Amino acid sequence: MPFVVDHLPGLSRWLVQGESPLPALLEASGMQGSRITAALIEGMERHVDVLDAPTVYALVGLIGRHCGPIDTAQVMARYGDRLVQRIPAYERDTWDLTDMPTETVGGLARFLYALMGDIDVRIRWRAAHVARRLARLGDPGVIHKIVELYGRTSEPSFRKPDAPFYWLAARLWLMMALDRIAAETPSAVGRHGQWLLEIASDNEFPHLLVRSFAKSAMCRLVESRVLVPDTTQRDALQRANTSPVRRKKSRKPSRRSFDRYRHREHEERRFHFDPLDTLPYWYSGAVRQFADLDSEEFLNVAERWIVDHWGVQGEIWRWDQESRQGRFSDYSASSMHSHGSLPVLERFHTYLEWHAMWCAIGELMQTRALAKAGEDYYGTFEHWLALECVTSPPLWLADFHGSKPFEDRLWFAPKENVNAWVEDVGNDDYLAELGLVSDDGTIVVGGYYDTQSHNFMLSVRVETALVSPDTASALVRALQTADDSWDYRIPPAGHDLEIDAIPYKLMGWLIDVEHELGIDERDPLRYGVRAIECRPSHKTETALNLKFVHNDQARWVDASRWNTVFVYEAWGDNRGDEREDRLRYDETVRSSGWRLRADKEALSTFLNEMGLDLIVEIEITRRNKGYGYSRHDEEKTKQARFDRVVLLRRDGTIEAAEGRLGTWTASRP
Amino acid sequence: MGLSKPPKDVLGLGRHLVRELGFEEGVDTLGRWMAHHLAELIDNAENGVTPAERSKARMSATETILKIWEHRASLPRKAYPLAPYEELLKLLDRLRPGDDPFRYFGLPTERKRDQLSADLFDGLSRLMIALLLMKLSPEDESAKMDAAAIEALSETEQHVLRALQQWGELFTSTNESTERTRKSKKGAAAKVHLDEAAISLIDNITNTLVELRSELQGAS
Repeated sequence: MPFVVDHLPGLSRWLVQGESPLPALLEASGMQGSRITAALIEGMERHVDVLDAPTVYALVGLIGRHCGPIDTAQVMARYGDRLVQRIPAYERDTWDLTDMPTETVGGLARFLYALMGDIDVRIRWRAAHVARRLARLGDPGVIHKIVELYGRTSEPSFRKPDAPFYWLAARLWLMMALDRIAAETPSAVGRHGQWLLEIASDNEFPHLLVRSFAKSAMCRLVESRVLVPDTTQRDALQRANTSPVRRKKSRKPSRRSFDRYRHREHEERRFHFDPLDTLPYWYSGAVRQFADLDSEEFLNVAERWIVDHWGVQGEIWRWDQESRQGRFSDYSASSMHSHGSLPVLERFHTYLEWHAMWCAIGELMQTRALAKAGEDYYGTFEHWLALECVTSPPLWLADFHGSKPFEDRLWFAPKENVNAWVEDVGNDDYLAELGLVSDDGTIVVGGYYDTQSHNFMLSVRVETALVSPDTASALVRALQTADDSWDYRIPPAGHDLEIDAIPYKLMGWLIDVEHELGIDERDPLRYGVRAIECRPSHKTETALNLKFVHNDQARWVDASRWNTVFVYEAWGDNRGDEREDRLRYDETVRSSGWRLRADKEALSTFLNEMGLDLIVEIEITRRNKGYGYSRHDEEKTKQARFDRVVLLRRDGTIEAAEGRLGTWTASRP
Repeated sequence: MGLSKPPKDVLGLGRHLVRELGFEEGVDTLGRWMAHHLAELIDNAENGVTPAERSKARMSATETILKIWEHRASLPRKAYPLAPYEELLKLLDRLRPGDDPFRYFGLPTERKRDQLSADLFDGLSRLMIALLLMKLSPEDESAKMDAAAIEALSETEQHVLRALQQWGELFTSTNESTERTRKSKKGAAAKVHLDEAAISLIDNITNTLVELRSELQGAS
């Protein structure tokens, strides 16, 4: 060790770069850690004037490797204390160490559950995704621990101790995560089946959404046979989250909703409900689910939940009463819930109003009749409830988000002059949009996407339909010569614009799926992706014997041979929580959109069986500005929209108004 | 809708369809589609390189034109000569004498009210017909339609069309009040200006309404 002390500057010369012989020398010495530590400290003391700061820090790191645990703890305690003293007293958190979990799994569970109750809905979603991935990774220990936290109504250690913990939100997001896990990795939550059933049937905490997700999770466990319910459980599951009262025809709408401008709050009201959005949109919708419920009666019950059950009093709606004011300074996220939308950042009073609504519905439906709808599913209580849950169960919208296709135009800005690029669209560009330049055996039969950065924008739309072969050329000419491509539309299946007047047949074979986004709209990991926007029609599914499957990607497979016939791909680069004014100057190329691809061989067979050809419209729009360009830029902005109509003939040729363009069945280089 | 006999000038009919279905602006996809298709067929029939080609194309064009013509009532735009009268025909259908809901007078005490109601129904019906005829633009008048298209109509359709044309001639718009019509007015008292006829009907209806109001007030 004296040698090390004497020659420390030389031995530690390349320590920072990781090329010093010193660590290996110390290891080879076989000396006790305490002696090595002492030697290094002595050497540093003796040569402190010639050692530079990076080397000193590297030597401290080396000491750390050989230092005993007791010494390390002492140093950390002293150093930690010094750091704490440097934080002003009013900014210091004081922790109750007895409240801290002592093992990793428990700590992680507490942390995740706390995040599920964050005021920022995006953080709740991220926490739910973490739980889901832990289950996928085969590590359900944290999940089991989180389940144990369901009863918590405060969180002084992992959240701001003097601010309310949003435990109702934590329960809901936990239940959503469990529902998804039950569909995806049922074995990870199988042991909680009975508990889920109790939550789903809980009339003491009749939160309609929490119960709905718990029931759904339990149903998925039963479907996957991870859990085999006995008769009692099966009956309980069927009754869970339903009303025992026979439904009645709804009475006239007087006092069955809240008027935004004429609502007068009762003097005895103990909680001030937001009259602009909560009452006319959230609560009016809830009251209308009942056959003969008075709006004030509903308010009484909601108030009871907030004031009596949850013990909230005072003028919490006032901004100066908001205990997390600093969190609301993020202007990219709204705390508003205008016109019935869901806020991204939840003010405390908004959070209470929303959850009180679900508890009030759950309580009232035990004794009051729900409104009876017609035969149609739309308009029923179940339909309304489904709209409030995830958009496309059991999947989350984020499940549809896939990787961006490896195609230059989705990743890079145009290489040439942008103004020239705007007007330079040729046949190759159209064929590229059909995916004919790749050799994966598929062709794009529907899609919409845009790619942009601050100085360019490209958007592409592809639509297809079946057409009578003998008259198809005339249709291509008719459409290609239209003044404006927006004067017509290649119709989806079942659309009014379909034509069936012999010898003119133009029939949709795909469906435009229209949907409202559910609670997962606020999930940042969906990257702007919505649920499936286009899919084969029922008739097409039957003709091709298709079955929908989703295993990391939405596909339709031939039910007998299991080969893929259609693939739905959706991608997005925007989390949806970034400020648009920042994007405007961002040079990063971002793309988002979707495409439905069909297997060429299956498509060819299908067209031959149907005796029809496929008409394809490809619309390409290019601009020399990206995002919402400002009025200031208007004069310099150049935009051009191009439209091409082609036929994919059954014999494999591609035909345009002026003649043949090539083939679509053969692979292209 | 069938044909009582095949039209003589099928290609002439085809040309009429192409013109009416339209190549020009518009959002009527089927119309534009038919126009392009028929134009292609007629072009082949008239300009085929060899007589055999032309003959074959003529057969194909004839077949398609007649097939389209069978469905003429549902053709877009004004390809069907009776199309401009569609609303009028619907109204006439509803206004058949048997459709008068007050045709059976009730109790003697209600007889006058029923009579007034029947007058009102009749007056309003006539007014509606006059107003619909006023809506027809000069180019809608079938008299200016393609002879080949009119010749291709069934006998019944031709009869209805003639009746409607005569009805249209009965009324003459004041906007077209030419020397000729003024002269003819002297000679034919039956010719009436459409707007004058409408005003006269409105006067009658107003009187009937006043009477009906008194009748109802007296009863209460």
